[in-house]
Amino acid sequence: MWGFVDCTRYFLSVGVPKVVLHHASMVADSSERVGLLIPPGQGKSTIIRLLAGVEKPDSGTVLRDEGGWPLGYSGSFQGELTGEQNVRNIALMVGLDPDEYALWCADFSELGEAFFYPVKLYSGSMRGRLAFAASLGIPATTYLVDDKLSVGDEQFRAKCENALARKLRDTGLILVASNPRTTQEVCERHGVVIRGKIIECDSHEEAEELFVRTFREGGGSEDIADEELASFDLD
Amino acid sequence: MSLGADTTFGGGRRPGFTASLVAHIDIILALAARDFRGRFGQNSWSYLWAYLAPLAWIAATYLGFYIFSRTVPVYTDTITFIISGLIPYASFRYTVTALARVNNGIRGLLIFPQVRHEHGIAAVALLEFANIFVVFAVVAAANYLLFGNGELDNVPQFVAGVSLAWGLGASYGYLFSALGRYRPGLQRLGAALLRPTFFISGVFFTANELPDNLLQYFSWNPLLHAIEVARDGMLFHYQSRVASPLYVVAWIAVLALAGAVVSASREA
Repeated sequence: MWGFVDCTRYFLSVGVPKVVLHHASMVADSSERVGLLIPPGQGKSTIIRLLAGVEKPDSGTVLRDEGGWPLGYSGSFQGELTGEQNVRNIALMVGLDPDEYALWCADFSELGEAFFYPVKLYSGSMRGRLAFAASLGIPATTYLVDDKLSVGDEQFRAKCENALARKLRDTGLILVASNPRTTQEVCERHGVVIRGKIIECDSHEEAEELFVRTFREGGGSEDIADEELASFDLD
Repeated sequence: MSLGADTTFGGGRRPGFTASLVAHIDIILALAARDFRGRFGQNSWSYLWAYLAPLAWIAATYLGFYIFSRTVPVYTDTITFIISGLIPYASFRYTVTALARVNNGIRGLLIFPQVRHEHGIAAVALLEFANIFVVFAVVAAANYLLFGNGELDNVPQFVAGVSLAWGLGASYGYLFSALGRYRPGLQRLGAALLRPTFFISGVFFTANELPDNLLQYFSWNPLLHAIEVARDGMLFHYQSRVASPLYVVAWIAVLALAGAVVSASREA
């Protein structure tokens, strides 16, 4: 089970409190594919970090399962280590066979010789490829995604999307994105984060409309009734 | 290719005690390897420099002895005397300094469900434990090759003294690392509190030469006891009248327990 129960999280931005979540609630099953829309700079990464357990809420409870895994997360790479050493290191941390896992990552990332170079020499795209290979090779029950479902050139993006689609047959997903198109294809439940509340929508179209009306057209947020801001699925 | 058969998470499968212990050891070793590479880089000169730096520290202390015309209070040469105090002190101080980096170093890994703050602490502390004996080997070899001096009276006792200083550094570092997760300023406070330790811990004097009215206060310092244990073990002609290993162990236990309580309250 994933989600938030009456969760509040804010941080100070230039001395002014910036609210990410305000008494927000949401519950999702580990196998569900949930898409949350939130504008850029409003706390996508914070929500993922809360779900991953790296950050604590200021109040409330975060519901987490053990099998959650951040998709395409490159923050764990040590620049001095080669791509191979990094993924072997991850394999040891998560209890996988380092040989098998390194082989899989080398094959999927298509980095060639660069797989054996220090990661500090990688371009952003190369880091992204390795990060996606590393996370798609992990047997997660739920992927936690911060905006990006794929990286790299067109061919590699297609490869990522195909691999993810296969994974999502029996794996859940919590995708926090700023672009409604990102959540359209892969998510079965949709929500929008407005003024720190998570509002559930019945369909992607409804979520997109609410998101656009609220954030893109510069108005609408004041029109949202408090009862509409009530968070979803706690029963 | 199928992955996942060996995984210990995701399917709700609970590993047995041995499997769980092995998993923890794997994580600690992986983090230690990562920290080692990160600190020393891919360049072998970096390794060498890290172990040669203490020689500069010893030279500076020797210069202090020379400038203040300080004579060695034990029947041994000046360099050997300095080494007998500096190695356990370095064991303590290096460990505290290394553990101060754990919060930043492990932040990117805590997103993995298996990795805990304590894994990072254990990995870095163990690395420092190994490091200090390499440092001692380098320093002792330099002392022997350059000056023809060197003493090691009671190896187990010397190792025990260095280990106690390391344990003290590890537990102190753990407590302030845990406090630093609440407020980073608390970690800086932990480092600031240590500044006088070089001057009050018996690095360049012995507890035996202190007057009783000073010793009654200085002997509260657990690091003084650890250094005295190590010096007693290293020097042929020194027997400490105050060294109490159990006193140091009690401090280590209290600091580690306090660190665990702070860390657990943070996780809750």
